[in-house]
Amino acid sequence: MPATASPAPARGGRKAKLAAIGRAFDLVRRDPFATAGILIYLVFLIIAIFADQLATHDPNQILYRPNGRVASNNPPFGAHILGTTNLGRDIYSQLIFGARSALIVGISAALAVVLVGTLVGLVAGFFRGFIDMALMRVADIALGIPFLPFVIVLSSFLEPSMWNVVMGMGLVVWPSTARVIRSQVLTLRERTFVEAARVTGSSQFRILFVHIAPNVLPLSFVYGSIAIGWAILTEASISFLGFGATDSVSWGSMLQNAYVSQALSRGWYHWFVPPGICIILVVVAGFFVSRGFEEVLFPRLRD
Amino acid sequence: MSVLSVQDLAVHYRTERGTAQAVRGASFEVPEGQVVGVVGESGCGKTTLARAIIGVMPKTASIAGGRLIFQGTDLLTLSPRELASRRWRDIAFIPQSAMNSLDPVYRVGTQMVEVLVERGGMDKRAAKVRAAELFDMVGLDPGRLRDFPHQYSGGMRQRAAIALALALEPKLVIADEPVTALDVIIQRQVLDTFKELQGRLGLSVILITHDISVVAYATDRVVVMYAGEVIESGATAEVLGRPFHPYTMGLYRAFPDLHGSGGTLVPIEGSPPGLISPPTGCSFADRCPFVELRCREERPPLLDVASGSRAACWRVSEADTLRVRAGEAATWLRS
Amino acid sequence: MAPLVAATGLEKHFPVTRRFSEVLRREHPVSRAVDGIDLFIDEGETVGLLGESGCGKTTTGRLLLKLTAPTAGSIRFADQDLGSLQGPALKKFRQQAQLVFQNPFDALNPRFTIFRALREPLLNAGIPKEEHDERMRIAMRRVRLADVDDYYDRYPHELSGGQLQRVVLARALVLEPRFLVADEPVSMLDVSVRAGILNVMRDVHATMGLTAVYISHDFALVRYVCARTVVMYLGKMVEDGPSAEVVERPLHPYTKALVQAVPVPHVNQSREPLPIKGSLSAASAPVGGCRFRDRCPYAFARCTDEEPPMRELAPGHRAACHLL
Repeated sequence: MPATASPAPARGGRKAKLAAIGRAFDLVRRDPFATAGILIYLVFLIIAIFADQLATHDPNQILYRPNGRVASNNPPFGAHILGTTNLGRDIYSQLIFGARSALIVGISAALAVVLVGTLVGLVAGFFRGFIDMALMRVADIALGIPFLPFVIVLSSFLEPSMWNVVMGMGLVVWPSTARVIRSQVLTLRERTFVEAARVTGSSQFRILFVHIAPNVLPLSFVYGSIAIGWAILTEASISFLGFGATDSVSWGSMLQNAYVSQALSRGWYHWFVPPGICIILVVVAGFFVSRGFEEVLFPRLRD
Repeated sequence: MSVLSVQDLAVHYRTERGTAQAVRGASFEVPEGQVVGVVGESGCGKTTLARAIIGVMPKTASIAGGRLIFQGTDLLTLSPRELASRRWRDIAFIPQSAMNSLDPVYRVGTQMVEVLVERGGMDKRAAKVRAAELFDMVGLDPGRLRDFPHQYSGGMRQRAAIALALALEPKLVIADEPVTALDVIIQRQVLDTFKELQGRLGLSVILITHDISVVAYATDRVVVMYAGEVIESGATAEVLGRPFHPYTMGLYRAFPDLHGSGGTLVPIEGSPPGLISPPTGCSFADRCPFVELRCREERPPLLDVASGSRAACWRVSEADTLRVRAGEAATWLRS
Repeated sequence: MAPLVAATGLEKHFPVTRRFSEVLRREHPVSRAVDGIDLFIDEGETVGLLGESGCGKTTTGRLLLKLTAPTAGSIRFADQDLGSLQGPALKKFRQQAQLVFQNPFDALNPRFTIFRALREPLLNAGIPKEEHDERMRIAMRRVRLADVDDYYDRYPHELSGGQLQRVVLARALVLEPRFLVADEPVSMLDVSVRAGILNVMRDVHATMGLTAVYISHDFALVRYVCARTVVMYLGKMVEDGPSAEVVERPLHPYTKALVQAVPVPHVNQSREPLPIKGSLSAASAPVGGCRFRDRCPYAFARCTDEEPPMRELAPGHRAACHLL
């Protein structure tokens, strides 16, 4: 019997997956911003994981000079790479450990937002009717709540901790993700292959989680990347305003300490510039990555 | 006398994976006052060809060679401005989906009047009269001119697109799959309109389609395209009655005939070759039941064959025998 | 023997967006996609549902598969009322009645390999795992994609339209259904590829004794694949008979126009004007009487007053027209 051969290049599931990774790298190469974003994330990730090894001192430890006085305000590029705070703490080590807090908050918050947003979007878009209406009204309410003040209020009620930010985002920031996922689901549920799944006997839940969900996950990923930067920024803001965690060090807390000690007017740039740059880098990286990966993760049908 | 002479036209597309040779050395004539059908499967280059003639191609496409002689001038040597001025006045285009030629935001009448005024140099009043005339000509109620495109049915939109294309009485109209999306009764009426207008106005038409039955019904001459090349051309009656190229022979048996005997249809197994690195020999070699060594090594040129047609096949001299064999289903089955 | 599929008085109305005047007058206009059909299909029959756009053939197909509920009328499948099917009985129906879609490029989940796509119905139906491999292979062989290993690991975007449609058909056959509905199965495929799919479908009927309904606007295709043709116009059946009969000796004026309108691949063909009257605006059903009367060249008074019933005018050949 004649085998109708197709002129397509890749064969086999494993090979197809390798080809997809290959294509991902091609696109990354072509989009230098996304590549930069990924690299930045990677660097900070490594820093966060190996913080204990990379830091030179305990970030909270007050250090002393040989003459017994507190090693306050040492200038950078001396014994301490970035100098010390006014209380004699090593800024470089603080920066390193700050990366760890930042990433913990960022990733947790992103996960919370993505989980809640995607689930809501999936359920609302697929089942429509009353459920959809109810969920979207909840989303509207959440959307109406100003995020930063909400987290501040949360921090006042609960113990100051970085998990307040995570919880805050999980409660208030998910609607935009949910909305987008929902419209994607609305389109997908009209697709022929979804009807095919129904005809071949798939249950509603199977259709939702096996057929539709995998097709919206790339979008969730995109929103997740943005959420990471957003979370870190928020945590920094909270700490800066004095509502942040007191036990762990973060870039925001560094900025707050610097501000309170009037570092700006005293020209102690080595204290507040590094954490500021780090925050900017991570947020921007998130943005670039989300833009770049939107292309890679959507499979394309044959032209 | 040919109103259009396509000579060795080549069009390339830049793609992610390389340069696709969408049209490779296509040559054919469009005699004055005749309907020439261009038939082929999707990807054979017929739409690219149409767009190259009218000069409306995407940025990734470029003319890689050949000449398009329209009434003595090579269109490819004209600047975009000169080409644009000829568009609509001398050569008109009806794209595949009629909605593409009708702006959904304006009333149909407004659009027609605009064309007539801007490009035909008419004054508004004369243009309105002419628009009504055109609608009458294509069998549409002139009262509908004040409606918007979305208020028209598919058949009506197609006819309106035809009216728009004919507004300035061009010498040549290129219609890309004008009836594919239409119901069969409307299809017949639209094709009859084409025929009638062609007779009345002395139009030349290039009718692009994938349907051989439409070609048989509505065209005087036909050009068969495959993988970017013209592989057979000639009078429709000749090409369909006495095909010389194996692809044309096979195509015939792949179409269900309404009044047919019920004999098994024979598909042509396989698919056309990719356009990025086209084969060195005949592009049909992989699917041809009569392939020989020479076919894979050398690309056959378009040769004149007995009946006034031309075909690109090394075995045209044996066409009579091959035709008989092509009529048998067993020839096309591959082990 | 009772027919496998028995639809009586089938109607399906869709609400139409109201104009403001209608809102004020509290009117709820509807589009009568299917407006009273009686269709009986015996086991093993191949029936073509033929008609132009808006005739209700696609809606009828979906009603027969319980993909949408009728506004009126009933459908019985294997002597069970379809409307009241639920739970395990419904699940069993879904195994026995399958659908082949118009768009092969979208009928498969783009993230599933062909293997997963074929396996899905088996998983849903709870077929034991040991049987999966065998059933999938048999189905693939039926659609002439016997070299399964060439296809199992591929994704839909790697296959051509013809191959995709065969996979869609294989997926429909993997549960060995009794009833198949195919909605314009080749309209989106290249012409040189269509013949292959049509032949596969003919073979599948012959070997499986499948009962099938083919929905199409292409008369030549319906004649090739189906033994029986039902012509629909604006929600009603106008003619019903053996395909060859309906083509060579059409009874209803609409069918006559349709037959004449279809071009054939021969230069010598009739180019006579069609026996159908002007009106190019979208056909909308006139109220009462015969729906075709606005376009029928032979319409007379009775056509406006009374709706013609389907009457048998030759063995197995029925039509609904007052002229007959």
